[in-house]
Order: sequence, then C-alpha cells, then structure tokens
Amino acid sequence: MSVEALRAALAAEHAAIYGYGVAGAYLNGEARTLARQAELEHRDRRDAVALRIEAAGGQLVAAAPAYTLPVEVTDAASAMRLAVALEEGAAGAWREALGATVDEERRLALDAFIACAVMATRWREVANITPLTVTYPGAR
Amino acid sequence: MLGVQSGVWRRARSGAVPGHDPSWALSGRSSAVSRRDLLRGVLAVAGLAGVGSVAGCDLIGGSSDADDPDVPPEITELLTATVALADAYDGAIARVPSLAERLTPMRDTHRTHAQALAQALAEPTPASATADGPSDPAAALAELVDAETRGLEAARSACLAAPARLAGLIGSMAAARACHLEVLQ
Repeated sequence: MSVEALRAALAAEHAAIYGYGVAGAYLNGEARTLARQAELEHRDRRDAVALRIEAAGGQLVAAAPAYTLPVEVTDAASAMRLAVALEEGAAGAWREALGATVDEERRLALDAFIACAVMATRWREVANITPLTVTYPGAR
Repeated sequence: MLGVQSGVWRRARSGAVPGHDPSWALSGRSSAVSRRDLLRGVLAVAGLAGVGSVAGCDLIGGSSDADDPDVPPEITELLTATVALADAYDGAIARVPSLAERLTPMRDTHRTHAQALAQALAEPTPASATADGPSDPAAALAELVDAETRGLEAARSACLAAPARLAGLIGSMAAARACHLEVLQ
C-alpha cells in the first residue's frame, strides 16, 4: 500500500519536472529563478522517493516522454498558472501518501506535501493570484 | 495525473469579514492595551502550542478520545489549539481592521480545519474565546507569525503520530499553516 502511494508521488514528481521544462521557457527574471529552484526541488524529491521505493522492493515509475498539462502555456502569466497547478498536483499526490505511510515514509511525504504547498503559494505571490493560500492544499 | 485545475483558481474574497462581530471580540474591554492585556495575549499565543490542553479537555467534555485508543492526545490538543489560532486571527482583525482583507481567508481556513477535525474525532468543536494582543499592525502580524509557527510544529508532529484516517487532514492543516507563514512574513 505504501509503495503504491510512493509510486504515485514519483509519477507526480516526473510530471512536475516535465511541466517546469515547459513553463520555464516563458519566464524571465525572478519567476525564472523561482522556476529553476522549484524544478531542482522536484528533482531532489524524485530521487529521494525513488530510493525509498527501491529500498522497499517496489518498482520505479518511468517518466513519460510528454504529459498533458492542465494549463495551456502561451505567455508568462499562463506559465505561472501552470506552475501553481504543478505544485498543487504534486502536493495532492503527497497528501494522499500520508494515509498510506508511517514513520520515515510519512515524514518524507509530509515534508514533500508542505514544500509543494508552500511553493504553490510562492507562485501565487509572484503571479498575484488571490487568495494566496487555500484551505486544503493539493485538494483535487 | 495533472487534472488538478478545479479548486486551484479561486476568486479573491471581498474585504468583508463574514460572521465576524467586533463588538463580540471586544466585549467588556476598553480599547486601551494594558500590560495585563499584553500578558494575556502572550499566554493566549502560548496556548496555541498545546499547553492549553487542560482547558481543552474541559471544553470538549472530558476524555472521549480515550474510547478511541488510536487517537493520541496531541490530536485532541491540536483541535483546541486550532480554535485558539482562529481566535487569535479574530482578535487581530478586530484590533487592526486594515488587516482584515489579508487575514480573513486564513482565519476561515483555521475555522474550517477545526470543524473538520472535530467531525473526524466525533467531538464538538471547542468554543471560541476572545484573544487579546497588540493593536499595532506589525506587532499583530508578528504575534500571528509566532502562533502559526507553533501551530505548524504542532500539526506536523500530530500528523506523524496520527492514525491513517486522520493523516491527510492533519497534514493539510500543517501545509496550510506553512503557507500562511509564507504570506505573513
């Protein structure tokens, strides 16, 4: 059960990394820096959760060559909306992993959930999307 | 995987403070802030860290969670502290109305979380109380940062100790608090 939840989170991290590859091309300055930082955080989490899945004897999920993105990106504003959606999507996968994990795996899931939720909020601040915070981060 | 659009884009809330009655928050109080007021404010904030658990047990009518051995006491304490956190926002909004638009969504989030957690625990939602504190905007925000910081730690450790059925909700409370800290600072 816990490995399946971690595999779903890994798939979400792959999707987020892909999405930042699309969004980053439309961003400059502060937003581009934030996109680069966020993408690095997702890569770190992807590697951490992959190690955990392997340690538990689970099978890794490969990244897809392309993903259907929830926002059509045509400019900086839509790229930042995509970034919010990417973070909320990853946050949701990690939130679902909470109930399926215990101990160190839950700690991993909780830290990842919080980090994605905060990054979504940072994107709302940069893009001036209000309200800046939501009651249930990662809710689908 | 990325079908996450619903709920992400929400319109800005109006500047109104729904359900908030300043006369209630200020009842029986003068508008001057005495040293005692400040001390009580500090104690109210300290209570958010979970040291208010004794009062919390009284409010919820005893130890009904003892019937549910998979719920550690810190989760019941989290419920009480979440109401106190919302009360701290109500106090700040009453004392510094210019912060209302910024603070109201976060206050509402804590109230919603308290109701959801109470429901999940099959407990009544603890009663609200007047929270005192500073009337200076910067000081009021600093007090909320302190309260949210303690609240984040409490929710984080409660999530790690929670039974599976509560982990998502309590984790969401922790994540929301981390987001509040992001925008308050």
